[in-house]
Amino acid sequence: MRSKSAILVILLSAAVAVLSGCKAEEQGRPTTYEKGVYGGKADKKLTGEQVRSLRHRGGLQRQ
Amino acid sequence: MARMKFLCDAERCIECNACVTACKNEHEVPWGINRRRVVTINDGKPGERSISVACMHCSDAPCIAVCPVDCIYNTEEGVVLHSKDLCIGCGYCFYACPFGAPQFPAVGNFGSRGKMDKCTFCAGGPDVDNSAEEYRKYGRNRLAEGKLPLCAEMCATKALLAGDGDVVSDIYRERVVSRGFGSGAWGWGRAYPGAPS
Amino acid sequence: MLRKKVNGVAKGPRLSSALSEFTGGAVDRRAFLRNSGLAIGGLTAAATMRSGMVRKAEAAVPAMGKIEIRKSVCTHCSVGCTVLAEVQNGVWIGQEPGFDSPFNLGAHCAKGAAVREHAHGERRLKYPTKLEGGKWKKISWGQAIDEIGDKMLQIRETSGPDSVYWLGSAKHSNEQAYLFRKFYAFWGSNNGDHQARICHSTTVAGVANTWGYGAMTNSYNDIHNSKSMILFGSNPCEAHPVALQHILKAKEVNNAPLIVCDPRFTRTAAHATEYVRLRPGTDNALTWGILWHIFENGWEDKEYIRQRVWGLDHIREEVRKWTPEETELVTGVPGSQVRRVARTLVNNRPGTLIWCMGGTQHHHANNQTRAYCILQLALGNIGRSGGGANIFRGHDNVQGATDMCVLSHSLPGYYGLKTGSWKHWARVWDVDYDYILGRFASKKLMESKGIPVSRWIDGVLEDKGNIDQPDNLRAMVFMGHAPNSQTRGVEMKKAMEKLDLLVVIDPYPTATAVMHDRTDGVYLLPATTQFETYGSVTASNRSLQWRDKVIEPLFECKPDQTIMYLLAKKLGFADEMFKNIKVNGDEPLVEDITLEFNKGMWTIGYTGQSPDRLKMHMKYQHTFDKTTLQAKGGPLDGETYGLPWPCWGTADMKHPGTHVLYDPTKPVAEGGLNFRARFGVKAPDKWGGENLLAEGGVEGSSYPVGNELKDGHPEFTMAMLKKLGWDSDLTAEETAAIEKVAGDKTNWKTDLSGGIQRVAIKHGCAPFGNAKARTVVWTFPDPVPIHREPLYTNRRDLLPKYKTYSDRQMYRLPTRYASIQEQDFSKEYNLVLTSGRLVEYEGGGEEQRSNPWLAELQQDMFVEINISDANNRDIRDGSMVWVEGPEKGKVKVMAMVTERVGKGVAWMPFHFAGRFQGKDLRSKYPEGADPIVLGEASNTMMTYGYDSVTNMQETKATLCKISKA
Repeated sequence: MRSKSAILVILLSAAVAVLSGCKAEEQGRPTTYEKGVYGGKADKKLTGEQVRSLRHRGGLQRQ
Repeated sequence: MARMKFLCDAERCIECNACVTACKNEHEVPWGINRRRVVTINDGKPGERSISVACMHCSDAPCIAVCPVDCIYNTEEGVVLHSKDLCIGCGYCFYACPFGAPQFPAVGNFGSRGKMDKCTFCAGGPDVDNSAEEYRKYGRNRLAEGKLPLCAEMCATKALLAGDGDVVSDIYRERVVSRGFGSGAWGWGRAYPGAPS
Repeated sequence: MLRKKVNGVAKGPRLSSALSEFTGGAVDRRAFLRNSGLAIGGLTAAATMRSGMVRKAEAAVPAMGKIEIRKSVCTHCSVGCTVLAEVQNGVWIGQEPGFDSPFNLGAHCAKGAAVREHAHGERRLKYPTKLEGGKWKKISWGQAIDEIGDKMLQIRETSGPDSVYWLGSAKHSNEQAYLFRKFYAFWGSNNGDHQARICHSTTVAGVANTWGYGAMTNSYNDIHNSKSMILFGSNPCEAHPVALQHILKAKEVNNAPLIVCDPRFTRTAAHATEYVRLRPGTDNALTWGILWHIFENGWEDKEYIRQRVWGLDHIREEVRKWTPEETELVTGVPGSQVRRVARTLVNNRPGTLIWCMGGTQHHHANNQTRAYCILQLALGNIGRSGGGANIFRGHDNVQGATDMCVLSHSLPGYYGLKTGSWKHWARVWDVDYDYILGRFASKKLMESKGIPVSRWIDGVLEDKGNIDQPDNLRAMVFMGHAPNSQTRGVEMKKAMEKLDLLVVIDPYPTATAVMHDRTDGVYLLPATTQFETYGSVTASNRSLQWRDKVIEPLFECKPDQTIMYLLAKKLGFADEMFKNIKVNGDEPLVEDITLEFNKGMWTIGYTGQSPDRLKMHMKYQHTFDKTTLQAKGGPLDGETYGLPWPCWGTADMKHPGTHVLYDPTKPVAEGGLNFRARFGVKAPDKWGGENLLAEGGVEGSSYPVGNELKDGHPEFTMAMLKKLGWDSDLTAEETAAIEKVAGDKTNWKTDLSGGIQRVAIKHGCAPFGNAKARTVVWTFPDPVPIHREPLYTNRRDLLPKYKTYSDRQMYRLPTRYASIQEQDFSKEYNLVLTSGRLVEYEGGGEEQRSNPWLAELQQDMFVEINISDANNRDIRDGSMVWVEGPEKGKVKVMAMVTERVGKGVAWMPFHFAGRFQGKDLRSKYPEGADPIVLGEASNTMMTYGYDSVTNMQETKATLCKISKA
């Protein structure tokens, strides 16, 4: 019996250990899927300075 | 801040392919992949017109709607980008896209084999801006450098315009007024029946 | 300012892919990086940053070093687009749009947007190679120069200097072109030439003989002022795409009609308001047809003609024959359309007239170019902003190389080959005239035109007894010149095989390396592109721009000036040739070369453009107006961008350059001008003996504003200055210098001090006099331009009337005309064939076909054939066909069935090579130097036919038959 429960404990802790490795952060990718929602890395919003620069360069296309 | 848009003025497009090679140059796009191409109708006949086509960065993009892994997204600036980490290369977006923008590389210059590749509006991808990783997967991120897509910035006749939708439409409106004839924008005639073009 | 996070690593993949191909080659990657890294000084870089460009963070750019911006100029066409190269650690990592350039405002075409590939250079020549026993063998530079030099000296010994041919390039910088011209002068032969011969030689001859200078009169930018535009045989959408930016501006803003006259419905025609389809080779006839309506209705500008044009009555006599019926019979253009075009041109003045190869590549093209000029003169459109004869040149520096006279018939600055011309240049070169004379086989050969590039094969193959020089050509040097741009490929192959020595100096092997079956005696020397050196380049509008060096030479490539120095040293004239040019190691100092030609080129005003001034213009590009090209404020206030020639006097005189030629509404000191007094003051008696000088006495019209003589006048000499009492304005040094040259006979062209020019301009006069344009060139075979049928014509019905010339001896060679045209080939060869350009490629195309970004866009050589002609021959779109010419050369190409060409006409692009009459030559290229795309060269089957003045080849109208392959 003791060996049985020991095996059980080992199996359980192994399962916990394995499952804990399934976290998204550790996989480097999303592990859950929610329909219609982008789950990848987030992109950064442009700053005001960047946007101003883009508008200025937009004007250079006049001619 | 409006949405980033391309507009191709067919009165001006001369099919010189500068947009195509500028794109190749900027992102080292491999042989066989065309993030942008020039389409000509009525080739060699009166009425011949050319227009440069890439991803149109739709507001309500069909590719986003159909992607089974939801790897495509709309940025704050209205650019349609996707994550090559998530893409499974199924090609469903290719079905959905009215412009044939998605490309499927045979070899892995852009991420791994078979993942979808397309015009990024020179905005890179979801990796850290201007990182080696971003460059390898998506090409250069000009927007983060405060510059517009190179295809438009280098256009021989300024037919291909890019930028904030309102800036682009201002330039275009001025042109149409000074021209005093029709509109060279593609689809104008369809949008406004009776208008020349 | 916001900082951009760029670290060098981000550029990694680009860099490694750029370099991955040649590890283990001539240079390994690490050595390459190290070497180039060393070479970065602190060049222009940050100066070009503006607001609107987010600055790159210095803090975030740690290991790999700063990104610098270097300014160069595109090396493809003559628009002169600024290239901004991003360079990091000596590696060219990106290209940015040059928004500041008044010429391109940031724009590029497919070629310009792809020039960075030059720095990858995967398919370039990487080290000197020679063909030995049918195999390419790598050799050292030393061995190459020694072996080539020894062979040349041996040929010189046995056959004389005229048996070596020096073929230069429109891709040289001005300095290289000048040096190359000087080189074959010091070698002792006039057998040298470059691409201008086969591109716009008929323009230069025709236009210069009409009003003085043979160049584009206005500029691309000045087209903004045009009220109408008419193009003959010009397809800028493909050949000069960025020019369209300016053309479309006139079309859209001025509502200017755009008329395109071309046998082919080109991409440009697709944007035209009126497309005129004419039969190939009938431009002269069409021009007279248009002029017929103008004369008939009295629509010509009579006052302008009275003041500024001579001989128009003789033209009227000829034009009278070109009734709408006759015009339609010859050109195929309906009478109503010709009338509409004439009226459009009259009602929309000033209008510009643009022409290119479609007009110039005919055996009577010197007539056609003059006819265009006369049409513009009749309309009063020359010397006016918005008007002009806007001749778009082809290569990036074909204007400059022409001005440097890399030609077989002149010395730099179009001085000619007379004793006086040689003496002038001997003075500039600071060597004895007798030394130069001693280099030549004889004084006669020194002063007689050499063999032009179009005919070099005849120089090899023609019977020795028929050539006006001691022996046949025995050695050919191709320095930046592809052979597939010249006609008669089958005979060229034979000629190449007959030579003793064949040398290619080029970044690419070109078809010269493979089209023959030689097994020995071929050398390939790797030259750099213009991005690996620096110097000035002249755009089509005569503006000079200064290129920075972008990267250090790749592999074992050397810049042309270095290669010329090495050869000169070997051949034994380096000390004399480089007497006043500093040589660092083996590389002559580029600025010293500029300063040397500044010292001698008074004729066309290449004297004011010193390196310092040109560098300033590049730096302050943004201060120039995008239409007038004039700087507004800033350090260059009032100057014209690039100091377009003539930029009179010395650099110290600060002449602003001449934007619009012959424009009298400005003082000469500010870029104003009038027509040149080049042909004497009185017409020959045979032609009426009238006065040739401008008349009418109207300031700003018959003479430039501020001209103190207030009328026409001859060109300036010292004697004339004395007569006017203006010699007192000369400084003592100037007087002494003038005295030293030829005393009172010294003129504005030979005065090395520039004093005569300075004083003439001070008094408001053009140094070259003030005359009328002449419409009758009495020294040409056809003084009044007339239509002549192509040598290979299928319109036998027009023949007695419009037949060609009689056979004659020209440029040292027998030249055939009538003996070809008299034979009727049109039964078997029943299609008219013409040729042209594709936007992705240029010239021989080796450079672009080796560039994957461009090659991908045009992978197959093709022939355009009309749908009816195709169906009549059972030819399907995309199938392979044979195109055969009446001289039996043939090419196997893909058929493109289209309405772009009219019925009975076929068209081929000319940029392909590497296949020869159906045979693939890929295996013959040196390893790793074969272009990505190969194809048949159209010129393999193109036929005989040479202009009666310049020996331009006739590639725009011949015959062919097309059959299923």
